[in-house]
Amino acid sequence: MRPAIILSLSSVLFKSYFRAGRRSRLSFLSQPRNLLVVDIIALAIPLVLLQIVLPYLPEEMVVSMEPMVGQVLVGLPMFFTSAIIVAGILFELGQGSGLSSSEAVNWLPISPREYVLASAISVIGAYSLFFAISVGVTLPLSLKFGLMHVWPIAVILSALALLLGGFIIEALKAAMNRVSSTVYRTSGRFGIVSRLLLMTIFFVMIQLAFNPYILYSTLGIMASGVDLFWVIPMIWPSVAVANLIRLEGLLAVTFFALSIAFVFLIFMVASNLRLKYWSPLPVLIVIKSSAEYVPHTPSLSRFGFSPLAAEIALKEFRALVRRKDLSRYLAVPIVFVIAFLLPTLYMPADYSGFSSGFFLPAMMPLVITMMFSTSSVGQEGKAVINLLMLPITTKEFIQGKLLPTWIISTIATVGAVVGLQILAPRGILPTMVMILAGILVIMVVGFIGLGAGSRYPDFTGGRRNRYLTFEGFLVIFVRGGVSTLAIFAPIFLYQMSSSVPIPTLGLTPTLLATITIGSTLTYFAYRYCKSSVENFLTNLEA
Amino acid sequence: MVLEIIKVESVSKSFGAVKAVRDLNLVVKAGEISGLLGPNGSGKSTTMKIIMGILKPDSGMVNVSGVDVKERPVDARRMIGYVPETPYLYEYLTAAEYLDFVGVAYGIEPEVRKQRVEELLQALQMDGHVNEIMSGFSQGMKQKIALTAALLHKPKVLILDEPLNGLDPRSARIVKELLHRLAKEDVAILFSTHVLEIVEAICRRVTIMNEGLVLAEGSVQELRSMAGLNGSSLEDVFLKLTGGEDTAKIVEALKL
Repeated sequence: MRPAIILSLSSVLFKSYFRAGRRSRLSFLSQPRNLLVVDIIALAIPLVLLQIVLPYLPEEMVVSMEPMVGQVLVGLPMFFTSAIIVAGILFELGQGSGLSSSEAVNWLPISPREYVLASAISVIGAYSLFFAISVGVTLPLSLKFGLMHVWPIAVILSALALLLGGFIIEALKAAMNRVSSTVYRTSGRFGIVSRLLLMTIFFVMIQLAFNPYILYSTLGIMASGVDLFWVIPMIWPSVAVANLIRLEGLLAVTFFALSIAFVFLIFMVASNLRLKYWSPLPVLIVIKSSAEYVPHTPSLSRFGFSPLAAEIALKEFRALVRRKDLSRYLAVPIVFVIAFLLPTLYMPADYSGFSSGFFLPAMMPLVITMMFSTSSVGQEGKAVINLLMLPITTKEFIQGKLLPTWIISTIATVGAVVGLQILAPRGILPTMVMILAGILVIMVVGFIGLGAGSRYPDFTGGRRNRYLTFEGFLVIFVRGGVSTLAIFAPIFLYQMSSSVPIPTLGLTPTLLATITIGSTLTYFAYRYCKSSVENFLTNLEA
Repeated sequence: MVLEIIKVESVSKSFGAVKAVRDLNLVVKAGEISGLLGPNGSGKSTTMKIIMGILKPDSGMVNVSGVDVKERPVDARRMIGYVPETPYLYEYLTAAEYLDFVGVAYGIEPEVRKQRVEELLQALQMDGHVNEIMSGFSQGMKQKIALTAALLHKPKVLILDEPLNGLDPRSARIVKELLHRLAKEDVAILFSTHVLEIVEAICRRVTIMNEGLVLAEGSVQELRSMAGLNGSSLEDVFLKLTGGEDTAKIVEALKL
């Protein structure tokens, strides 16, 4: 292995992350020197703040914090591995076969081992900010609670855990290339569906495995001395730290050595997988066995949509189901429900209904609609020319692009609210009002999302494509968030009035206020969307 | 009187400090195959995108078959068939699904669509691949689908940005003959390529651009006269006009 090649390639891969998108505001971070400065600042701020604050904390608080600091040090390596894996699933595994097979790295004299190591280093570089913050937070805490014999080892093992996450992602990438090619080649349309299902199950399982509540329970057991989880090699770095805290020197050294060996093993596995399955094979996939062309008439046009709007919507659905990078999105509503309902099961009975009862119906339409609507333009990539060269009107474009968003978000929202009603019943009428508010949020956020997506699209088909520029993300995040809060404000007041002594708001005024706010916002959101799409369809440059 | 189908008047377009197109005037008449030539980055593709209404010019006017492109881009696109420089198709769709999408966009009835698609795919030897996902297609196959899509609605205007890229000799010959036939049917064709022999063979008029400016315009013979190179090839004329005639010296200077 040649260190100069590895560093040079990792620098290239690292730059591709920060320079994606012509107008990326993050591009200054693509210079390692700049990133190092930002990392040092990110490390210094919590360090200095905690050094100032800690001496003034009340004694009871300090006592209660002590076991937590140990848990944090134990949890750091495990957290970093899981964070890198989740980020990898979100941003790394969706790369299309056309792109990965045409990457220059494939025809340059770079060995699989050099590539795997460089790619993992570039991933670590991209997330180094979080590492720096955690170092800055844990150092003063370790000093305060006499854990300085643990801290340096925990930091080293956390860095190793980051590398482990990077190698696991590389191994998964190569393995998925293989699965993807095989499933497609053997089974056409069935292959598409089975791949989608496999990806959804995989994604949900990963999310479940790294859910903070499950992790917290695991950590609780580990830190209390029961190393039931030592059989899982991925958490050996954490087990080493846990043993060091308990002053079990031999065990700590053993798990430290095992961690290094495991990281090396995964590195070798990833390298060998890349050697064998370096890129998905672009294979010919036959959808119908007949070679005859049978013109298709979009059935959605029976529901009042123009044939073209229906055809665009159908194309969007096909993209969601068939494109590896987009099909992950379909798993998100399921993951979202799990992430919000799990805490409900852990909370005291008095609170379980309230927190999810309000947040889930508000967050579900906001997040799901935001995700689908903002990405609907940028995900076109360079193929966007197909939309621009055709005689598509603004109305057809908006309808076609938003129809899948509306359908998926409505199903997810109604499903979540109904599910919640079963878990923590709140009455039929409040539930109906909640669904109505959710649908209004879907309308408003959908329009704002498509507007922002058209105004700030990111067509970069790079390794870590994200479909929306940072500015676009800020627009939808602020406008979408404020709109959701405004639409749900009357319901919030209605719910609060039943548990907190504030003036009562009846259900009918709640309903009227929700409709009024929602309709007004829908009007303004539509106008924003229309002007953005008009501009987009006639001026690609803008 | 022959109709002026594409009319570009005093069009300029800049991307920041880069002036991509400068005060461009261009006319393509009905039944005319007009070649647009120029070195890389000379403004050909930008000009084509402006005519399509995909890019807004900073100044000037573009008219396609009586329709002001700036005011009514959607109406203009209904009359145009366009093949972009690189055919970025929807690779997750089958050829049939993509052509359905394009056919519906142009409002072509299913029966007509079936007939047209079958004719064109058969001519381009793509009829066996209609139900395959396009991600597995070669560049030439994608180009053939892009050409089929551009011709599907019998456009009045064809804008072809290097349409023979990646095509095998047989398909390239078919496309050339097809363009001749369409020109006879009064279709106005604006055609860009780097293969100058093709331009000599099929274009009635040629426009040579460099750095956003029109350097010369006329028939191949007129261009030869303008360059003072009667009897020379179009390649010599092109290199002289665009300042690239010293290629031999450049190669000599290379210390390979």
